[in-house]
Amino acid sequence: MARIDCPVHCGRAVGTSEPNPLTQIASGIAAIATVVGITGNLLSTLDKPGVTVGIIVLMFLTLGFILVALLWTSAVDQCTQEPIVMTDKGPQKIRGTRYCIAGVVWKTQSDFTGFTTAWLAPWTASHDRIDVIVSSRFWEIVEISNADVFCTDDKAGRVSEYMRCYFYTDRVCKAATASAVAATVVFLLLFPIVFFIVAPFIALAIPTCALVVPVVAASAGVQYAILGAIIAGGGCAAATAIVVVVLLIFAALILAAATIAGWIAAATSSITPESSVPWEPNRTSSKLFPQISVGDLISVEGKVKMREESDELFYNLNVNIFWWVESAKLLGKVPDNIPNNPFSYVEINDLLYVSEPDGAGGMKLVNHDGCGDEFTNVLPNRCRK
Amino acid sequence: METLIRILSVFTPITRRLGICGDVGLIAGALSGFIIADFAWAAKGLYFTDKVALLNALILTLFTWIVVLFILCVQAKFTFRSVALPSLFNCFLTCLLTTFISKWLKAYSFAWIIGMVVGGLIGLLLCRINSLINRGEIHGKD
Repeated sequence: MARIDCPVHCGRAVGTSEPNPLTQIASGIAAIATVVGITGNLLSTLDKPGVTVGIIVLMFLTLGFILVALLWTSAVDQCTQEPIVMTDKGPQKIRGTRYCIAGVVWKTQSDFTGFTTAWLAPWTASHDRIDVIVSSRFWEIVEISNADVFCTDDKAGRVSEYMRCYFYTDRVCKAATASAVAATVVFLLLFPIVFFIVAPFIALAIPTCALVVPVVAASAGVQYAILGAIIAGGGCAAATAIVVVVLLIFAALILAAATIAGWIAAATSSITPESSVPWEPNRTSSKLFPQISVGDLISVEGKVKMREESDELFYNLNVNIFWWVESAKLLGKVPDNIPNNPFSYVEINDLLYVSEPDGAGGMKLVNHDGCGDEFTNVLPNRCRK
Repeated sequence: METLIRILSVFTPITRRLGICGDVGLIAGALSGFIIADFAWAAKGLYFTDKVALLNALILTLFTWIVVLFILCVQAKFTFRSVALPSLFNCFLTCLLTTFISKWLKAYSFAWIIGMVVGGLIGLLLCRINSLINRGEIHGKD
């Protein structure tokens, strides 16, 4: 009954193409470089005093804008169920479709797990997540839209498809938003310093790269003349090094502000109302996992969308995920005598679909998976029992 | 907002086809080329001797590598171990070629275009070589 003639579709699907973060960032940087490159080329044709300083300010503006844009992109992604992403056809809203699946909780991951997300970059923290090994009835949902599929590492015939389910965590959204706001504020505060102090200083250094080095700091103050002379002594490479170091300090200040603001927002929004259900709209922190644990039979319902994710076996794939779970029902616990490393759909099917007397002397299959037929009837359902 | 996203997504069809290595090369090339171009705009008659060009390429390699590592490890959630060395090599080749091609063509003001093209092509080539050596191996992520 449990073992059905339904091959798993693990790994990469043919023809799947969803934009990943790196693709979008590279596209954004290329677009900004093009716009600023054209502007810079036009500006450089002007022969007016102050143009050199303006061009250097442009360099800092560009770097700051890229950083701020990255942080706001993270914030929008963390706080929006259907974010707009860059695709081949221009910006498109990733619209999730409502589905329900059932299975066993295989892994759990709390928000702000790991050094990077907890300490270095709180704006990249993940929402609370459970990985559910799905009963075969729902494999079509795992694979829908020609998605790649994560599977367990098990013997042939027991390999199971699993799905990642994210629960919206308010403090993840607040941390990302606070980071973006702080980065923007610090960027704006640093701007006058760059304009009046940093750029004029660098404007003295860069001419050391010219074929004919002008008299350094002929019209500048004494302090700039001294600094300019030092740089001139080091030559053009010293000028490049100084520009690079100052750019990195500028970026580090913006990111430090973003990190600190993210910590504060995460810490101050972690007041946790105890909840009797696994999910509620205003849940503010990670009290999910005392309620849901590995080995729980569960049904989850919410918006499913495709996103690039990574696991230890398949690395980065474009898989269908719940973003976010809107309701969840605990259906019981997997008995201790069932193999659990990893679980398999074979036993999960037996636990969720039970043959019971139909009252007329026969047997009927009773569905205990907690999902209505409306979620699977629209699918071909090659794996339905 | 949508107009801004539309502008930023102009290169998505290209970056999607470039893959991870090509995207890394494109980012490194755009940044290093942009700094060289900025120097050219600011200093009329910019000229690098071979020694200065090499030094500049090394400094730009370090800068672009730090930026690329931030993007890969923090924003895109790749593990440091899986991307550190390949991206360093990618950034080094990209910065070196961007600097010297700009110098040979005497087109420092357009180093940002040269950087993007060179970086994208180097990345593509590196990924192709890597996939030939280790068929089926994909970079690890968190």
